[in-house]
Amino acid sequence: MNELYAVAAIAERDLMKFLRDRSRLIGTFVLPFLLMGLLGGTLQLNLGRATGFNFIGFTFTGVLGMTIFQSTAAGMAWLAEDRFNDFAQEMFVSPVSRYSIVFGKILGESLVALAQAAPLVLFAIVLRVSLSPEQIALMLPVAVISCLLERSARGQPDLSVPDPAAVFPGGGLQPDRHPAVVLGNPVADLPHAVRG
Amino acid sequence: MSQPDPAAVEVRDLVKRYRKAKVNAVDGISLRVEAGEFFALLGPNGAGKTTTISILTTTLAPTSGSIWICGHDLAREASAVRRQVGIIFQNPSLDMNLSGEENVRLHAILYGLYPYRPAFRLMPAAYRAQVRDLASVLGMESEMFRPVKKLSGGMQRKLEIIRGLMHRPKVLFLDEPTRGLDVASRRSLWAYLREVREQYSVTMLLTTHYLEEAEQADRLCILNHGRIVAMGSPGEVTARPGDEYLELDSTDRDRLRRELTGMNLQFEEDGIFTVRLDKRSAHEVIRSLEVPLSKLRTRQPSLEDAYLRILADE
Repeated sequence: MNELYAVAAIAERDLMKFLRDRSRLIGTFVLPFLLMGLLGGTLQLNLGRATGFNFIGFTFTGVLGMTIFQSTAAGMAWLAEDRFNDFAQEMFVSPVSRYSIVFGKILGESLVALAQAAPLVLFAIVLRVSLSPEQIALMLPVAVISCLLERSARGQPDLSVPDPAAVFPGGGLQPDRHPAVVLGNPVADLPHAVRG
Repeated sequence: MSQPDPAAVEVRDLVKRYRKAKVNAVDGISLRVEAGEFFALLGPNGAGKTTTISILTTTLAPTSGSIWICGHDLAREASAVRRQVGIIFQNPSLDMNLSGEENVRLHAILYGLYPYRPAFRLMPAAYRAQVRDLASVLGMESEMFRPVKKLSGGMQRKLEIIRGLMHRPKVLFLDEPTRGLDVASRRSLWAYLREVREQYSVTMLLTTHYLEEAEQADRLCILNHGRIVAMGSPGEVTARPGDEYLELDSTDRDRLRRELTGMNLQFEEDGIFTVRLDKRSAHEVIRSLEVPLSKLRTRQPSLEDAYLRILADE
C-alpha cells in the first residue's frame, strides 16, 4: 500500500508543480492559439478552400500530439538526467521502489500533459474541429506511451521548442503511418500515430 | 554472550571508477564510524568526498568494496539502508514550487510514515501535530505553508534537516550543509545540529570545506585523490611532534627575512613572519637569529595548518 501512496504523492507533486508555474500555464494557453489559430487558420484561409482539406483539424491533431509528447517525454527525461541533482535525489534516496518512482512520474507527467491538452481541446471545440469522446479518451494512453519513449526524447535538441516536424510531419500532408512505427522517431511520428 | 552493536557505517576497500575515467575517484578506502559518533570527511575538490557519500546513500553504485550501514549490507539491502539514513544534500533538494509542509508531506509518504492524502487537512491528526511541532521548533509556524522559494537559505536548510529527521534515521549524512550560507545562518544551523544530535543521538557523517566545522567532529578523515591520507580525532590529526610554528616580527624585516632564508626555514609573511619549525626547536631558531625581534611567540598547529601540511606532503 505504501508504494501506491508513493505513486500518488509523486504524481500529485508533478501536477501541483505545473499548476503553480505561471509561465508554463501561460504557454499552455498561448501556444495552441499561435499554432492552431494563426498557423492553421492562415493555411485554411489560403489553401483550405482550394484543396478542400481541413487544415485546422489537421494542425490540431499535430499540436495535440506534440503537446502531449513533449510534456511527458521532457518530464521523464528530467527524471533520468537529474537523479543526482536537486529534488530528484530526495526521491531516489527514499526506501520506495524505483518502479514506484517511475510509475508515479509517468502518471504525474501524463496528468500534466492532459492538463496542457485541455485548453487545446477547448480551443478546437470553439473552432468546430470534430472530436469524438473516444478520440479525447485516447489522449491518456498516448501520454503514457510518450513517457515510455523518453529515451528517444533525450536525443532531441530542445523539447521546449515546438518541433515543426511534429506539427507538419514530412512525407506529405496525409496520415500514412501506423502507431507501431512511432518508436522510429517519436517526435516526428507520434502525431501521425495520433491522427491514425 | 551478546553481540557487539554494529557500526553505524562500515566501509571496506571501497573503489569507485567512473565510466571512461583513467583514475579511481575513490581508491580503496576503509573506515568505521561508531553509533552516535560525529565523523567528518575533509579534502580538496575532487578528493572523493561527495562520491563516497553518494555511494553510502545509495545514489551511486560502487565499483567494488563492501559497505554496511547499521548492520545492513548496502549491496543486498539497499531499501533497509535507506530507512536508516537521512541525507542533507550539497544542493538544496527541496521542491521550490511546493510549500514547506508539502515537501515534508511528500517525504513522510515516501518513507511510509503516513498514508497519502491530497491536502494537509486530510492527513492523519498525528501528521498534522508532528508538522506543527516541527514548525514550532524551526520558528516558522506561519512560513510552513508558504512556497519554499520564499524562505531564506538558512530556513530552507533547517527545513531540509527537519524533513531528513522525520523518519528518525540512525545516521544523518550532511554533504556540505552550510555551503552558500552566510555566517549568521551557518552558526544558527550548527547550533541546531548540535541540538539534533543531543536530542536524537543520531550518528552524523559530514563533508565540508570549513575546517572550523570539522574541528567539532569526534573524528575526521582527510581524503586526497580518493585515498585516506589522515584519520583520527582533530587533536590526533593536528598534533605531530616538532610541527610547531614560531611567529616573529622585527623592525628590520629585510634582515629577518635574509636570516630565516639563510637557515633554510619555511616561513610565510602575513603581517608577521610565521615560521614552520619542522622538527627544530624554537630555542635553536631564536638563538641563531641576530636581528632584534619586536614580536615572538610559539604556536601549536591548527587543523588548517595540519590539513595544508598533510596535503602538501602528498
